[in-house]
Amino acid sequence: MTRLLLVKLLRDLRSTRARILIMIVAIGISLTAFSAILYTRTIVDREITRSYLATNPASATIRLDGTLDPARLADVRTRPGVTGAALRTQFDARFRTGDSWSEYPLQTFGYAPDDPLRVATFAVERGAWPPPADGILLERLALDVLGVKVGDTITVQPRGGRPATLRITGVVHDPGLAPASNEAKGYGYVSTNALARLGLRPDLNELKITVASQDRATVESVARDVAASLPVRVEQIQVPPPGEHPHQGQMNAILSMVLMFGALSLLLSALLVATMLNSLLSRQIPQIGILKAVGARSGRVVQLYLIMVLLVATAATAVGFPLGILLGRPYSRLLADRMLNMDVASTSVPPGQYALVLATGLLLPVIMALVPLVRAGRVTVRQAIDHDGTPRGKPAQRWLGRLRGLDRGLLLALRNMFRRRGRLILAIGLLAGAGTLFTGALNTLESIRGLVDNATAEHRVNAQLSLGAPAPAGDLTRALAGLPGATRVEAWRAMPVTGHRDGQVDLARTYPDQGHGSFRLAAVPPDTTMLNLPLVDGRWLRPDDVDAIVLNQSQQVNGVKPKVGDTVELSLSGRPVRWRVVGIEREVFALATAYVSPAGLARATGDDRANQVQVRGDRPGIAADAERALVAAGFRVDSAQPSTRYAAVVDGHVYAMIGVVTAIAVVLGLVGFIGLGSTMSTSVLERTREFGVLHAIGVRPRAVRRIVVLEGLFVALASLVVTALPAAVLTAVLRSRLSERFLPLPLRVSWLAIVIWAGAVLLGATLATLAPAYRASRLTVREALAYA
Amino acid sequence: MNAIAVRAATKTYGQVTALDAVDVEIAPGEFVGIVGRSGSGKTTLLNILAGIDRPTSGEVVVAGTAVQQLSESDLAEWRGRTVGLVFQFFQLLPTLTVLENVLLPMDFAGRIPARARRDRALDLLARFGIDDQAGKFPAMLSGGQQQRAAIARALANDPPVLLADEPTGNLDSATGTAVLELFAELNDEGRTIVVVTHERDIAKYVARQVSLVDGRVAVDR
Repeated sequence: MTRLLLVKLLRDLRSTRARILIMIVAIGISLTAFSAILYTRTIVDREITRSYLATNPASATIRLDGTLDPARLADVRTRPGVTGAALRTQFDARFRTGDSWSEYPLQTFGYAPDDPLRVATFAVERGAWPPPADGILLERLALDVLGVKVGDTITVQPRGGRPATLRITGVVHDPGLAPASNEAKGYGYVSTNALARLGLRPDLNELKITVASQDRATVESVARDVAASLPVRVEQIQVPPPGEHPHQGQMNAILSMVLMFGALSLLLSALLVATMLNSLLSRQIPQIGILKAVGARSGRVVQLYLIMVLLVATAATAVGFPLGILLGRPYSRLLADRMLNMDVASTSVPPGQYALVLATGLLLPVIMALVPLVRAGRVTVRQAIDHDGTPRGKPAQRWLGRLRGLDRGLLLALRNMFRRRGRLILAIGLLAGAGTLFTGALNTLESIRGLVDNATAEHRVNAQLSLGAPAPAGDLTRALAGLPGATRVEAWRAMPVTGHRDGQVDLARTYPDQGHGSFRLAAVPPDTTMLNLPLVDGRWLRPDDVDAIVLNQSQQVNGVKPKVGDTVELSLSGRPVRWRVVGIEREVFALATAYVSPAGLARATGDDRANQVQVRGDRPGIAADAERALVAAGFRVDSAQPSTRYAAVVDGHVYAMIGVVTAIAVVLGLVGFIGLGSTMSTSVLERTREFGVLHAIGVRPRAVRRIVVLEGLFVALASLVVTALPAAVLTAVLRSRLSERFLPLPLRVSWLAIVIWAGAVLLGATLATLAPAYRASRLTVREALAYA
Repeated sequence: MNAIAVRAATKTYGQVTALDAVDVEIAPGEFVGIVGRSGSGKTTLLNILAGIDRPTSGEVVVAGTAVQQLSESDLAEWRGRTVGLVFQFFQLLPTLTVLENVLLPMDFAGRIPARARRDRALDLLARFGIDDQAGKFPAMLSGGQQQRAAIARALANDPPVLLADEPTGNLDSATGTAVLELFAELNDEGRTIVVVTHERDIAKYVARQVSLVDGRVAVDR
């Protein structure tokens, strides 16, 4: 590289600085997005495991019908495979600060005051542990959800207990649980001293053990072994997925999807660079001819422009690399905090990833530029000096040449479009790529919204009341017969259930929050109008069904997914009952539930009473009114939840995904629009000379502008047609991947995205061509002809 | 030995024959004008001499080198050292100053010692009366000045052969005459010069005219 060539290079860069700046911005934005996502994925993936394991989560929870004495507990710790053991208890409660009960339940965990908190532990952030007998500590995210603060006094009523007043004496951080904000519930922490006040037996009826192995089968076998050695009856063993945070799968799905979009947007900006470079080189071709005429070898020419691309790539990397780090850190902290309730201990990333980002930023533009670069370097002096972009008998031109009866301006615009096939393909590819990603992202967003809509439509319940004791269904519905605003009342019975294995204790996959991984059986009237569950296979319950069951499509029983016609054996409080699968439904958000008829449950348990009442009636306060009516009729009510809480749970699980996908769509739209503007304006700039010729032969400026704008519109239309197929494919792939790893998404098309993109492309094409065309139309013939 | 020898050179573009078995020999120090109507093959012949284009068949030897045998890159290097090219539209690099345009071929060829290049370039510009324009960009110069700068650039590496394609085609008649006089002066120094031209007055300057008709040599005198 001679000094003069370097001087030429720098001056060329300066003379095209607007375009160079656009290239730098486009690659810079994409590199920032890609690297920030890459780092976030690495940080969150590492921290989620570290943070979850730091709580030393119980590998298994064994629910007892009673408790153990200290000697027995010590004995458990010596069992083969067991590394730790602790006795705990927990109960569901509701609470209030004023006159009315909060719609958010308060799941409360109880500990012996002298518990060393080595197993399934938490960090006390404010206040002292253990709390006094009238004190309770709350999980830090739960404070916001419940709208309370330290020092407040709340009335807590446990299910099966009595209301008692407790003071919030501190805050704990428990990253082992799904965040309270996602689950729309609170987590409380009390010592066993508080249990008596709450009308509960002070028994610690949950044995939590830790097992060194992370292998599920080993954990289950150790837990069963421990359970078999205990002198009390074991109700159930709960083994959540070992070492896995309850939201791990959801997080992985979000991060892999985002990373895929990040990589695609990077590829898109590389394509943009190739397009812009192609046009830049195209304008440089006559100069390449001169360089060769005065003695420059092809290698030197390629080297010159390679350095130009490298300079652009370096500048973009210099922008994108630090920005990626700057954004990745707070973004991973935000996700960790909001989605996982975790504190990020370290935002460090392996040096290999920094190297990968640097290499991507520096090399991807060069790789994308290689083909046009080498082609430009190979141009002969004659080709270069003759270069005017005129087509030479390409098939499209010949075909267009045969078109008759078309307006001459329209024909000229159509022919112009095909003048440089390579440029046309790049421009259409770029616009179609951006359109595909943009509509793909917004279609996914629509699918997620559809999921929320479906979830709302599936449950036409406005209030759900849980009873303290089972009661005859008829009595319950009669008690609510005159409830103002109620259009329908149904009495249900719900109970936890597990797959049954002969001679073995029931084993569930439930997490300590008793929500994630849990499985319950609900007896509902077959003619229920409270549920509108889409059936994937088979049929819904009939009044005469006694052994029929409808399962969720993702429900496993003893490790297998049952099909219609199968018989499944479920354990109801230790009693095995066989059911015939008659239908498979695809309910999304409710706790995993299997539906049977009241007659069926009566057959299985010998008890046809109900323990839940579902009320429909869209009136504020209907849940509280229903509770008052039931209490007045002599029933005990444990909780009365309006449907708004269900909506809060749904929102809590998808809002992060919606936020992330929206952000992606914005970035992709930005890169796409930069591409659109640069592609269109370049094609006009390149032909300023031609406009001069048109003026010289007497074409009016307005007619020139019309030709140019028409050409831009043709390219835009072609790109829209090309976008359709890949956008459909991307949407389908995203939906299937997310359905597999996150939640089963409905197929939705965002018409808004299509209208926005089509409108933006057509309007963008008009504006991007109109401005330079207007400038060109104002040039004098002499100026235009002198334009190099 | 001839400075230039073209033997049975034919050039076809698809169905069109631009040059048809042309034989031309030019001795060192000759000043030859190639004339003919539009489409007669003048520029094609010059392009073949400069290695800008390759003959479809036949042989072209310039300053002892069989041009058609060189690769594209070797041709560029050979051209830089052996022939100076002057074009109708000057073809100066717009983002380099006049002085830098003249220096560039010296950098590529590496024949003139680096220390001496700047002085030589300024001398050449001074010789053609545009040394006061050295620091300006081509767009700031008149057509005549730009063509002088282009000639200075063509002479940068002191090539034995100077080839010019319609060098006066884009200039007014007075400036065109001045340029042709400049060529005559350069020829007096012993340089071989071939000029493709429409200029009627070319006979005043050249010792020999090769007239082409339909790609064949019609008159050579």
